Amino acid sequence: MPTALKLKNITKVYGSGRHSLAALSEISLNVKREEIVCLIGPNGSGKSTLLKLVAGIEEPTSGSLTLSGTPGYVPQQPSLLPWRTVEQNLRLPGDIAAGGTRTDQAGIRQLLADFGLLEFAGAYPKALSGGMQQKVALLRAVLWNPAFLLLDEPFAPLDSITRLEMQQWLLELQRKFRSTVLCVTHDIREAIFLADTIYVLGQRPGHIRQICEVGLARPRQPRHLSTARAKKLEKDLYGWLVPA
Amino acid sequence: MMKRLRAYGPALLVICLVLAVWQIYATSGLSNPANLPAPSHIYQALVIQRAVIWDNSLQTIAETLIGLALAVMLGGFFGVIIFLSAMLRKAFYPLLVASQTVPLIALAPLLLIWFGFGLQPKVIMVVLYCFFPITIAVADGLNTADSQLIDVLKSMRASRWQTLRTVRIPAAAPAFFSGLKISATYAVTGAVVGEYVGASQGLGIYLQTAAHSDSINLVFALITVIVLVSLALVGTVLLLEKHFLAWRA
Repeated sequence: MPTALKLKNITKVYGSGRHSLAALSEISLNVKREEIVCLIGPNGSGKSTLLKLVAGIEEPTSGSLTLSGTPGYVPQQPSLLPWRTVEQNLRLPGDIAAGGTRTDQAGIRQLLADFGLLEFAGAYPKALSGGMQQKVALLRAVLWNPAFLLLDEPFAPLDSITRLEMQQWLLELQRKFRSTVLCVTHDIREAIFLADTIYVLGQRPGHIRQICEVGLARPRQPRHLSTARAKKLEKDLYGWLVPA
Repeated sequence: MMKRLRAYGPALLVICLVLAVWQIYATSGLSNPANLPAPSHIYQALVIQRAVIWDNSLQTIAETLIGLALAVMLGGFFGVIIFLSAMLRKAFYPLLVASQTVPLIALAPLLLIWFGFGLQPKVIMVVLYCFFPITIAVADGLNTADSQLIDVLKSMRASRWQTLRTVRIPAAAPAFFSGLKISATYAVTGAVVGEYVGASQGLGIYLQTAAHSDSINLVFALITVIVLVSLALVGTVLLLEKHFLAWRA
């Protein structure tokens, strides 16, 4: 598969002089097209900063970043515009960039129907559960660019059952649109369940400590988490993230 | 119906109780009717003078609405300007704050000298009373937009104008309505104070005439009308808020 994203020696420093703070140091990574890559690491390891650099929200201090197009970005908290209905939120990509993909009303309604959200088309975000809101935010990111999704701990605020449901939903979405996904998570089992490759980041300044190929079969099922391979990965990741 | 009764019932009950106590006290002979008329006498004055009160009310309402509309436009404009440019914020903010330290009652005679007895000085008084709360509410409201929403727009390479229009201005709407509610309570006062200093028509000048001719019943009747006009204005703002911020319900 061709490369969808290439980072080379990315460094990010906030401020300057005595008050400077290095958030990321010499990060290099490749993400292949249609691959799901998870970034996992302790607080302060720069995971979200890295995602913001890829999203174009912030600029790296040094290093090169090669990416085709602008990815669909989903932050940690549901980021829907509260004054817009679900359908109006999904029109946002079309409002920002005319000619965006599937921004016509029929396309949006079809997408909502495909993912079981049509009955909520006219609802304001406040009326939806956290999981529903995050589903809409993911669909909005897909409408912006279905080829590449950047997800910053998208399921962190959800309870464990909803989170598992959302993880499966995300995999379905990724299969349907053949998306490349770069996802930040704190959750080791979530990373194993979703990812093809896991990058383990170390404490500030964030740096890559380990790269780990998951190697579980696709389409991924919850039972895959009980395999010997998944158990070993979980133990290894736990060891790298929580040093004895 | 029950919901409305629960919402407004306690306030109505208190008003009825106050009026009842007032009526009993004023008619008991314990107070001088030249100082404190009974509510029933105030009501009589309202009914007898209703045509004149109505004509003067229309003048005050016109001044209030024009002044408030201008204050909304000016406040919105300055709010956005202050938010957009740190330099303009530094240039205008102290002036805006200083403008609020000047006692507006002291400005009224000056406005009269500069602009005469017509509509203009009253409208300017209303603007001076009202635009500051709106300006500050808009400037602060534009700053309250959720940073994650801004990040999503940045990731879409939205322009500054698109971010302002799509996220910041709608996010500022609740703060704007808070400022507007404060301004609406000041607006009628602004018009009345402007008229009080000098006018040919309006509740303020009519109030002054009534006070000078010792028509205490009429003075109280006019104060009641001023309060009712203010309440109607605030009520209208509340209805507009409910309509435009339906997403918060």
